[in-house]
Amino acid sequence: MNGDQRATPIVKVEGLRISYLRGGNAVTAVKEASLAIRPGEAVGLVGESGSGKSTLARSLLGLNPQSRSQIDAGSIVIAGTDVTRYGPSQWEKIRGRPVAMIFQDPLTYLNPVMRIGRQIAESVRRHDRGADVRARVAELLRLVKLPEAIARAYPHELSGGMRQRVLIAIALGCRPKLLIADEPTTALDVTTQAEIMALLAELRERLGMAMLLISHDLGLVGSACSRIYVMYAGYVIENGSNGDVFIRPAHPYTKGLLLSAEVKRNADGRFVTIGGDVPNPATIVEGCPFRPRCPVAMDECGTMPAFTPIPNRAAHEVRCWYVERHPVIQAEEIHAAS
Amino acid sequence: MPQAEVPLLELRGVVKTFRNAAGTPVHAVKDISLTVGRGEIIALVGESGSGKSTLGRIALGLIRPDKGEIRLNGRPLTELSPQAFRDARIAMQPIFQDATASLNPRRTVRELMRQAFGRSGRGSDAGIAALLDSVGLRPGSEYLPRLPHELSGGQRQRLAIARALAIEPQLIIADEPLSGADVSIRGQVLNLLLDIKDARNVAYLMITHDIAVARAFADRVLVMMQGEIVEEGPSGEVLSNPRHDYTRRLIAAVPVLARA
Amino acid sequence: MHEFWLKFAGHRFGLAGLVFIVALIVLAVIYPFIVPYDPAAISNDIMMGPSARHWLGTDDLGRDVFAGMCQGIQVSLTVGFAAALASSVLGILIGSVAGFAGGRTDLGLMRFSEMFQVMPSFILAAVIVAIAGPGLARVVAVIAILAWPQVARVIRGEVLRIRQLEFVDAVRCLGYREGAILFHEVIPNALPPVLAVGTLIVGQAILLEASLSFLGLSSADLISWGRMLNNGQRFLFDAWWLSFFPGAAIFLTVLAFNLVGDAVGAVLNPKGEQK
Repeated sequence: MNGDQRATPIVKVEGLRISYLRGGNAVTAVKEASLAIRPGEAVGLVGESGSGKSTLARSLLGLNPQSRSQIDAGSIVIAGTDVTRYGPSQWEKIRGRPVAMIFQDPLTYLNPVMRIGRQIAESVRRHDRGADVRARVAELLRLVKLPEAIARAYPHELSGGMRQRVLIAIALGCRPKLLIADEPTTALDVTTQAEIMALLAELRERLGMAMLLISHDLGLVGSACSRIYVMYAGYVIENGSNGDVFIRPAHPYTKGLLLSAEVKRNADGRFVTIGGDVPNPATIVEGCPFRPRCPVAMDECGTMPAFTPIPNRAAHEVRCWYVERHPVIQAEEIHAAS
Repeated sequence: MPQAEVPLLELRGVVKTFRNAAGTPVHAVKDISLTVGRGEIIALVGESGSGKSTLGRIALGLIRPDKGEIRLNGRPLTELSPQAFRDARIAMQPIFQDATASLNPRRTVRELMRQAFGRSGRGSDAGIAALLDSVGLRPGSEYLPRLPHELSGGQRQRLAIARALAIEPQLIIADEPLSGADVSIRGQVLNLLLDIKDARNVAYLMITHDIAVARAFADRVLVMMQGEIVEEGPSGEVLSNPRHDYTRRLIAAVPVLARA
Repeated sequence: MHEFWLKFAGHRFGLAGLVFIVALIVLAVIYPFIVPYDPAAISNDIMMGPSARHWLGTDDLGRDVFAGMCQGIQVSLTVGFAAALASSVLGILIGSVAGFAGGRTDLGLMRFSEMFQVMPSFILAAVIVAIAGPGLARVVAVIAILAWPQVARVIRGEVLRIRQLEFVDAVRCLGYREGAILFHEVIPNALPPVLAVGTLIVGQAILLEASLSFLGLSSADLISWGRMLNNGQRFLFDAWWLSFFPGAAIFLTVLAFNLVGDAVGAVLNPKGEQK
């Protein structure tokens, strides 16, 4: 599950900055994000609305329309090739392989008037020239645990969970090394969600595929991923192993988020929460974007800090002045301050 | 019967069957009875297709049941004239999942709130601003000229809550009020709902798929599956010690962080 | 609103159409100050070709064609806008009630509207005017009766979409009557696409009025492009300008309204943004 930390990453993003046009104004959706995903690894990307997590993920497949968005800084390297400046036709050639993606709402990505089998076959033909397409479609359906008869069905005849399985089969048709799953179960019921997540875990194991799971649901990411990136307002603000980030979080935002996600009441019957509002990507904040909501904000927070490694932990780093000034902190400390 | 024993809302033997596009009947609600007491917090938990939203809409009088009775403060709503029904129903107000869709995009905050205050005559700018203040839109007067799309998601949900409060309802029926909200905002919304309950003694019927929310927020939990209530009881008991197999499966399916 | 104009300006053909229409309106207002002729005044300059004195020539009674065309703008635009307004009001009322009420009301009203859509509109218009007698108001009424189903169908679709949005239920729970909800909540949100259809109807109405007056079925007291065309066709081989200029004016004006209508439709359709 951990992947080989020394192997060449499938995806390496460094200092990425992406802005897009909205109503004539440039909005920076991703301000500074770095990310590395190694073969076979399950990585989680956590963030709330406006954190830039989907824009970041879509940039790994060149899915942000170039007419309305642009990469201002940083680089994206996929399987050793720098794709930062790729144009639409170059993306067309590599899309789906080595990186494929599934989405929250599978129905939007399926052709409503084409049978499921043909849609999977198209993906197979694009990536496996000369393959026995029928056999491969049947194999893919078996992989995602759908009966072969589904090949003759239309998308609207399937349940939400089945559609998501079809989308996974289409993605697997490209034999990806990395599958990006952007809120893959948000539209599904909890029991269906559990089935899809179990399927994804099994497929990763069997095919040796890496996964980038993007979600606002910390429980989901925590139960499926070994390494975690936390994004807030366009910045990756903390990353490390699941055990470090989710059990010994360092950034005040990550701590608050974890406490909020538990939906627990404190001693006076109040729900634990983070004050203030999730920042709108269009407003420009000087320094750390979490400062207005942060219980431990200091004067230094007027500038954005660099990453600080947490002592005695492997590859757990955080962008926070408070943590940098107080290297050994306990969860209780910030808890008490809030 | 003494007045104190009349429940705020009572559904008796409610049945609703829809027909889908193919004409096959879909039994959304099969003979359900439930009561909501004054100031009580009830969570109606279930998955999509369980009929929980249909039941909420029946309670609000937005869908007419095929069979059964709805009593509000002991008065059977189904037997009232249209005008008397509209007047009685305002004691129940909805909060919807999608705050954006629940606000007319062409109306300013002032217009939306004036509309909510309606004939009560309290829809002055000062009255509106005071109510907005109380739901955490501070200072309320600054929000008056804004349009819904100029607010953040959290602010829109607060506005929808303020609107529901304008005519001082006794019961708020909230259909997935948190699923559109960011994780870090959810606690704020729940705290606001608790404050409102403390200040005005409103009751809540919260329709949710989120077991953690039901457990922490509600006094009593009803678990709904395929149009039927399969388990019912105090929230702590039902969700820590579920008796029905479906409730157990629901709880087991929720992904949990392995927290030390 | 500001955003609307910003986007509209991006549609070059629509903008050109709008500029043309505005220019027509300006011309209709100011022409008495730049053309020294009364459009109805008879003179001795009979059947003169375009020249510096008579920019677009004169007709068989010596009337100035340019002055006549400028007055024709008033007739065409009045008919166009009045017919579009009348058919929109009719279409909005019927279409929105059909969509909001649903069920049998919807079915009945939509079948009713289809009756008008399958009729050959020009022949029907000609027959009605022939029976009821000519006159601008009648022409407007006929066009409105023929065009409302287009509006009704568009607004019905919008109402069907909007009536299931949660804000409608939220207002319903505040104790408002169904009629108030339809008129104050649903219809205002359903209007934008009607604007696009209405603009297209202006073009259709101008064309239909021209056709009717070409057949002598419009008002006899007013100079309109259709009547000028009618008058000119007798001299098609001797005085081309009598037919060409009114014909070109009709063509360009109808085209302009269609371009504006298409652009309005594209701007108001959120899915159009993707392109």
